[in-house]
Amino acid sequence: MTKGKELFSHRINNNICKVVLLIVLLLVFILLPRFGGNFLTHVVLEMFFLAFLGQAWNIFSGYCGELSFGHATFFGVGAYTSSILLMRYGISPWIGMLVGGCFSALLGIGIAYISLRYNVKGVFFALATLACAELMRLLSLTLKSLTNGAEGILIPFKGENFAMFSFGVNKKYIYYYIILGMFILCSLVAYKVKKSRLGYHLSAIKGNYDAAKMLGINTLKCQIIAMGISTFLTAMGGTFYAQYYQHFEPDVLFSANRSFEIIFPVILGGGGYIAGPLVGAIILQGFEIITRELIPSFMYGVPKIVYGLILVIMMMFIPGGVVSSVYKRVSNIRLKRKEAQEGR
Amino acid sequence: MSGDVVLVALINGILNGGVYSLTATGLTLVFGVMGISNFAHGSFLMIGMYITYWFAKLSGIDPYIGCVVAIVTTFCLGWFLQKYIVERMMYFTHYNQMLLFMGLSIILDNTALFLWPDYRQLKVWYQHLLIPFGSTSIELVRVFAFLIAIVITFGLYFFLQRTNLGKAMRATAQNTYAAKVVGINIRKINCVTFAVGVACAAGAGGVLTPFFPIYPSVGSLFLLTAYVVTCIGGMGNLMGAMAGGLIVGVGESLGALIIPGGQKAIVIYVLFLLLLVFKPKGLFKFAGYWHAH
Repeated sequence: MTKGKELFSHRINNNICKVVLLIVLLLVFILLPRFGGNFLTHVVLEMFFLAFLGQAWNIFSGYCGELSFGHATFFGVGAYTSSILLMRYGISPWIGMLVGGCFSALLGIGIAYISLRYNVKGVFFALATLACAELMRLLSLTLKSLTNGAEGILIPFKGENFAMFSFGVNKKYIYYYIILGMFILCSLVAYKVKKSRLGYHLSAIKGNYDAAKMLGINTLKCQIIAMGISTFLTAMGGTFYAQYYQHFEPDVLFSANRSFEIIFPVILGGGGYIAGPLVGAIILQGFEIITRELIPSFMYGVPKIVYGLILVIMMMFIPGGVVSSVYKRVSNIRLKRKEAQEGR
Repeated sequence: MSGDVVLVALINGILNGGVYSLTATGLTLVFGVMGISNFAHGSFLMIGMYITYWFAKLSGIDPYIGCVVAIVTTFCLGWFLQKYIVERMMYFTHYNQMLLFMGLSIILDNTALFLWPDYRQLKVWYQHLLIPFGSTSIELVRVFAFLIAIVITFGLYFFLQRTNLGKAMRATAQNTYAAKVVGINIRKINCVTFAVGVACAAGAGGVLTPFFPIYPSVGSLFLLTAYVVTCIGGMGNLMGAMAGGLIVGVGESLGALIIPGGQKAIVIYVLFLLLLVFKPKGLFKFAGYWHAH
């Protein structure tokens, strides 16, 4: 009886800690533009953008273990869809976001279905998605009548207009709150998925695909649903990119670099964890700010070298990411504490 | 489109294909023996190109000699990397291995970007020599590249068939545990294999230097092509890589005639995706030696 109470009180403490931490973080991020200034707002905005995309990627690749190296495909499709709808038909980017999301979801489901139905997994899946991104890039360069080819699309600034998702460079904080809201939405979706039956099935698939199949899990359906959600959200990120930076071209949207930028924060933070993308994005963005200050501009490429080194060292020593090693430490400490108590 | 143009495209495709085969041979060898997919293969090709370039530029000696230097240097680099980094990752999940190699590739590419952030071109006296062919002509340096690539690939094949070390590598590819049981030193075989694999990539890079521009991200261009070739030939199948290289080269050249604007790589990627879905084990039946993991 006493032991039960102790364990239970531990859990309450644990949950209260988490909730308090979340509230504090939320307050900090909400109040940030007020006290931080335009530059800091921009920096943290980029960080949340990375975290948003990473969380979207996490929902598929983090939860079920199939790495997709070509999420830039869906990112670009979202950006192009909303921008083409805006430029040609004057449709609001908010609607364009949803339409782009639907297109991307369909594309993603198609790719996932074909790959997983025909057993294209592991390295081959990663390569196939990479090839898809490259194919998209080449297609958008070729179909000039639709996508303006290599010039890309420039979204002119026609004044502040909430319905048209346009706020101007001076009001970065509006974009900031939008991406903050999007990130919270994405994380909620990720949380919902993780705690649902779908999430547990994906976890099983990640652990051992064949065993999961043997248990009767419809692996194809689970992975397709996860991919659809993931690509829908990624496309929303694409629309945000288009509206915030107001110019893009195929090389920027579909490059392997972009895919990697989406993946890296999640890998660093920890794939499969909800906090992973945010932790990774914070670390990486902080790192980038530091390198921007410290490393002179002629040393082009040096920050990336350090990224590569971090990746290599991480893969050798903490392959699960920062969050997983923190969790391990915490559970070790808790275990030792419990053992000490029981020993007494 | 005259018949001559098509024929020249065909021949150029075969010549390019030889170089693709050499790159893919390295990749498929590493996969066959060690079971890992080297995502950083393109970066080693880039290293080979730069070593050859600098050797030729600084010493004035013919770049094909520089190619040999590049091969030897990259062999040593590959050995070193395998011994201290890749060896630890051999038994991790494919997830981690892929990311490790991506990390390596990023380090190598961006080191090159930092040191030499521009496009370079090697100039040799025989660079613009052409073999006349009907109404058009074929560049001599491409023929050289093809010949050297073929020689190296066949040399590798005979090495694997005839020498003891080669036989040991084939044994490891067939069944690693059995190879350990009969006393083959797997660690050393892994080192040799990886070193040979990346040396192949460097060799391919070296023979490309007389006619291909040299820039830091040239590796990523050839990486995907190399993977397409290995998929055609079957992972681990050396002769398949040879045939696959020729097929990809010809396909790309003929595709360039059809698709405007220089996006000929579309052909390769579509081919790749179709292959992955319908024929993941390659188009060719194995002769028996090399098994995909």
